[in-house]
Amino acid sequence: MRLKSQSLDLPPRGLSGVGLGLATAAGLSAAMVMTMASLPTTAAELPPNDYPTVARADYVFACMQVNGQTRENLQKCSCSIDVIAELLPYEKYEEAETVLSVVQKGGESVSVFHSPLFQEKVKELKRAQVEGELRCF
Amino acid sequence: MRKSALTGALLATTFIASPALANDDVLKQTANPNQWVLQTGDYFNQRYSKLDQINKDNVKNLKVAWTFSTGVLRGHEGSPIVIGDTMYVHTPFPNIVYALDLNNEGRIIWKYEPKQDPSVIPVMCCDTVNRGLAYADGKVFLHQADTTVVALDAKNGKEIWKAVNGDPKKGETNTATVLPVKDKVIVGISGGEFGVQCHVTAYDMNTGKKVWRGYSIGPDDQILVDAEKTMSLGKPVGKDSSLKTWQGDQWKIGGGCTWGWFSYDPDLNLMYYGSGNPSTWNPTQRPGDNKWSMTLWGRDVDTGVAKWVYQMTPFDEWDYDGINEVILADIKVKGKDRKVAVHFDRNGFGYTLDRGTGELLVAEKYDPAVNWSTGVEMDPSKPNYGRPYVVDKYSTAKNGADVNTKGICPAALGSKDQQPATFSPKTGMFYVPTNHVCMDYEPFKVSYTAGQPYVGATLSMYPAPNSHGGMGNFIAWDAGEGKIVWSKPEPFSVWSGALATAGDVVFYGTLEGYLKAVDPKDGKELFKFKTASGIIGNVMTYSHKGKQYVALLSGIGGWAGIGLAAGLTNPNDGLGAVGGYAGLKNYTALGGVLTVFTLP
Repeated sequence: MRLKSQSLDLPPRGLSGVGLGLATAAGLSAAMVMTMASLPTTAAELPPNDYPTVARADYVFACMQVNGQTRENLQKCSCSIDVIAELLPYEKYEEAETVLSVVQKGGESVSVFHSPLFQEKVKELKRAQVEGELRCF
Repeated sequence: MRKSALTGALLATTFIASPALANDDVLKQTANPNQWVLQTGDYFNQRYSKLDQINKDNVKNLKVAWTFSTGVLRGHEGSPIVIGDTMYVHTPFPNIVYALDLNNEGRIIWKYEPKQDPSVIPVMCCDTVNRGLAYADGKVFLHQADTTVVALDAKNGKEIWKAVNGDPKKGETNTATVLPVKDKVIVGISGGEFGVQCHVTAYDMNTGKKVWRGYSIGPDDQILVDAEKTMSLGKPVGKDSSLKTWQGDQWKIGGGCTWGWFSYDPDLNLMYYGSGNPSTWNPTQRPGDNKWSMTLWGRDVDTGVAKWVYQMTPFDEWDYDGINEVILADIKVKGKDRKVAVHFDRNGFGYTLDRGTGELLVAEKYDPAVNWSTGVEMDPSKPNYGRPYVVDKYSTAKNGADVNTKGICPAALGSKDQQPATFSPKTGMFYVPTNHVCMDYEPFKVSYTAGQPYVGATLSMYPAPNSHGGMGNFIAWDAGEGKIVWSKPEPFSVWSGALATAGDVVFYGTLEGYLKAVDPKDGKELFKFKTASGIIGNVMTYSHKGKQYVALLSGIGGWAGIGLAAGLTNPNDGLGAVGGYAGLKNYTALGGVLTVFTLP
């Protein structure tokens, strides 16, 4: 959404660490732009692996809670979110995250999130997560 | 369900006009832009702030100044209020109230936690939200989930009075804020899905004594209409205007609930609100127009008697609850200066009416996806003047019970739900958070049991087909012409109330958890920041010691915790395994969070 021009003035947020797991310099600079744009929502402009550090850290935090807080698990959990980020643009990850979060509220208003369309977004994330497990654990 | 023992007393209070005390504390307090005294910003419900320190050029620099965890999970609607150096924050059930000291980084001055029977929770159809507090005359007013209305001493949180407005055992509950006006506090009620005969009620601001009650549905002395003087579309409503439009006693469990917002015009002495859907959701069980459900009301605040009514969706077939806010503004309508009431209904039409007379000026779709009706008849000489033209294909009554009517737009939650829009007197535009969602609707026959759900339809909802794929739009609306000025697509519905400011910024929140700031001219995004969780609260602003702040509550659902399932053969093991970690509990049990922003 017309983000880039003005959003470059924004202070960089959590830039360090965003480059983790990026293969190319082009990918890195694009990711930096997107980070400065503070989490854009439009897929078309996004390169792969555009996750903000806070989203990666949130994932690794939870992953280490269940697998154990060891150096080895830090490695595995980081690897697993990097695989997800490679397979799924952040926009898709965020959509699935929103669906998973919002359905925890019951009631008529959230029933739309139980529709196949939204559940498919969650399944896409789960598929990426399985891939992460196969490669990293 | 209501017995008419009340009626005599009601009549007496109705026709002996109570003395109009010149209590203009709310007017005085809301005139000070440093404060945010009512949920709606002001009596006109404009949600507009004259503060301009945060403006369209510097809003991109907004930083988190401080946060406050409410400690309660579940959906957080409404917003904090600010009076002087104190901020008052409410929570969903159990409806805790905090007074926070703005001079001392939000330190808690006092906390009030009502004792409520948790059995009220399952009777609340749509989550245990609460849309917040109001302030007048040194008192903070809370309307609890169990319908207890409480006046608290703003200084120390002590109860001054309490009044019980309904009975949760019959399905009567509350989610709405209250309207403090003159010497009264006016409140609504929920329970349309439980067959409640809903009403608005005025309590004495100083004692909590009931002054008047006006039902949405029923005999004239219960609904407080005057057959000769109460007008609808330019004509007196006549005798038994509600009863005539119901079959048998269905009106007694007819709904027409009042869980939305209230506005007020001090010059006209009228309050405005919308009444909700008739129950049940199965239209074939309640033939007739079901007046005055789905109706906009202008009532005299002293007597409760209606000056005018306008029914938007006669004989509702889709649960297009009419409770959304009624915003008052002075704008040009088709070139002429008018004092209007503007309402974005769930049914997808944006209505502009003369707020003195109820004359219908504009009725146009504010989402192009709306398909259940082709339009509203605007010619006063036509017999169907003011009524929507219903498309047969989308008529769940024509298709009948146990038939699934498909592709109806909007869905039952409406092109817009309760989340309030904002009006900027500077641009003359309304900024509206919307749903872009359609539905399939299958009514079925239900029978009524007090305190049990009385719904009678199965629904499935999905994003509007053949559009941008998202579930929402944030739009700018010209209420004088009935036209969308710009529309910004959103991946999810916007369930957060908007705020416009003199700094040429419009704010709203999203379900992903972003606070967004956009340019009122074209909707260009100027800033966004991801808060702790999804936002269904409303954005507010205030100023303290010369510095402007923007604040909102986030909190819906819970932490997605995606990483919890990583590395486990059985993802459910994760939840068990983490039970013992104190660190995780702190991380996830934060519940609703108030985030306060300012410029560095």
